[in-house]
Amino acid sequence: MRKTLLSLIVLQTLIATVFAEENKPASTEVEDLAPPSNTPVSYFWSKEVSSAEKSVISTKKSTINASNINGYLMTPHTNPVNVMSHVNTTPIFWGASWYNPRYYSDKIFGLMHFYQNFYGSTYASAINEYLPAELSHQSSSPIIDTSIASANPSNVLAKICSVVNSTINSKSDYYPVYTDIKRGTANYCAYHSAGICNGVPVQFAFFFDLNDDFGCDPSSPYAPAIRTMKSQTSGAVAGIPSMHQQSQGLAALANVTAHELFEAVTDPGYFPSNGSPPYWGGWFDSFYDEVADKCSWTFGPSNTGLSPGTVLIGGYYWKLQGVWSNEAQTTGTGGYPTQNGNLVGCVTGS
Amino acid sequence: MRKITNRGFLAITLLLSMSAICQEMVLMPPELSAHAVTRDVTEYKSREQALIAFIGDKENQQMPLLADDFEVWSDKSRDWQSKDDWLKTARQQANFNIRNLSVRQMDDFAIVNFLLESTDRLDKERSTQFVVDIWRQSTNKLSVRYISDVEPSVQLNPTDRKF
Repeated sequence: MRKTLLSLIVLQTLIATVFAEENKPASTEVEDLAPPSNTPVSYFWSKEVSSAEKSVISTKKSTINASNINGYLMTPHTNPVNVMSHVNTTPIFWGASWYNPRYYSDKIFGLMHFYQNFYGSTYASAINEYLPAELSHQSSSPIIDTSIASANPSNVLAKICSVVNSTINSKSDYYPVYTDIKRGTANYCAYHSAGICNGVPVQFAFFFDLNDDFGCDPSSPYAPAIRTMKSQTSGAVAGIPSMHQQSQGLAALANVTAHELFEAVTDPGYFPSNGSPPYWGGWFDSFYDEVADKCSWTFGPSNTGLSPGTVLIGGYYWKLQGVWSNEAQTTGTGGYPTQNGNLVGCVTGS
Repeated sequence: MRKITNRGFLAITLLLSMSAICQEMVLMPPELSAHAVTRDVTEYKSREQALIAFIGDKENQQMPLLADDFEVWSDKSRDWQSKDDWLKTARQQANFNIRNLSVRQMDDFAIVNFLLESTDRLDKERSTQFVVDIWRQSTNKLSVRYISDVEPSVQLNPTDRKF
């Protein structure tokens, strides 16, 4: 308990330092990343799709036509649709490693910076078509808990309840829980879920430790290469002079953070007032894919004209996956292809 | 039988109260979870969907995603099925959906397992199969498929979207 409190005090001081850095002009490292002004904004295939596969897939682009597109579009599953137009995010960093500066590197600072500046970015506006009003988002101070973490959703919910029990009071609360647990052979990088804590529905997300995890790495050009000596070195986002914007682990977490935040907003768990079991009542397609699932591991043209997936949030560059837009798919404009190339509804808010 | 002392009674009451408080803290376990899958899962799900699209295209006799010596093993037969025999059977099905896909990569091979839902062409009878595919990574071609029917009792809960 004493360790947790001490960590919180140290953290608050450091965060204040980081946010003070925000007011400074962009560092020279940021400017060095800018391309020549004549760089065209266009769609690039991400490296995850090999050229052999691309040639195979491109021959099948016509398999989905106007008559069978409906199953691929997002549809609401409650009336009025259950979404979160306002979100108050309280990140929780759970696990014994979070007291270790060599482990947390720039992750806590970087993720707080990401959440603080997410609202108002063009990237966040990509999901406005699913919301009754423009998304408003705010973030609260993080909580660090250095007890042993668990990936089990029941244990994650219990931890959230135990550390924020007295302050849970709103359907708008969202608790992303970042752990130091390695993914191992799990086939996912993160998940979002929902439960009830003291009678109040709680939306939350869980994240594995993605340091040097190839299966969950977006290969960001703004972070050191994976599995190198420098991969977890703090980047400029933490206020540390660096040739990179963020560490590899932070870059990977940011990408799945965006994925889970978009899905928690557009498809939060719905808890009927009559006490029936909860269900997903927001936006997803007939294959149960949510808005971020359909564009997982695809990186579209950036809103800054830089390399694929580049998004500018809070003055720093991040490589983030796209999100599905019914509008882009049905109008045929503004979107880029999904990974199988059949659909063109992925957008990055540009 | 030993008599419970006042102190013992107090301790038991306190323990029961503590237990009740702990239980109240989390009233309901999370029954919902939706996963952000790995790059491998996304890539191979996309590849399996491309294969399904080829199977559905009866006019296309070329199957570039299948190895020349591709074969299918199932619980229905002692022998393997050839590519052509299997295609005839597979093309009688429609409305495919892939769920719960996982990937393990081992050297040049990727072992992909998933649940494959489909209906017959008349959309009357629905079936679910557990499929294990062995892909050769250097050629991006499917070498072997293993299939077994799944009992209706293990149909997925639609709230559990681990794919």
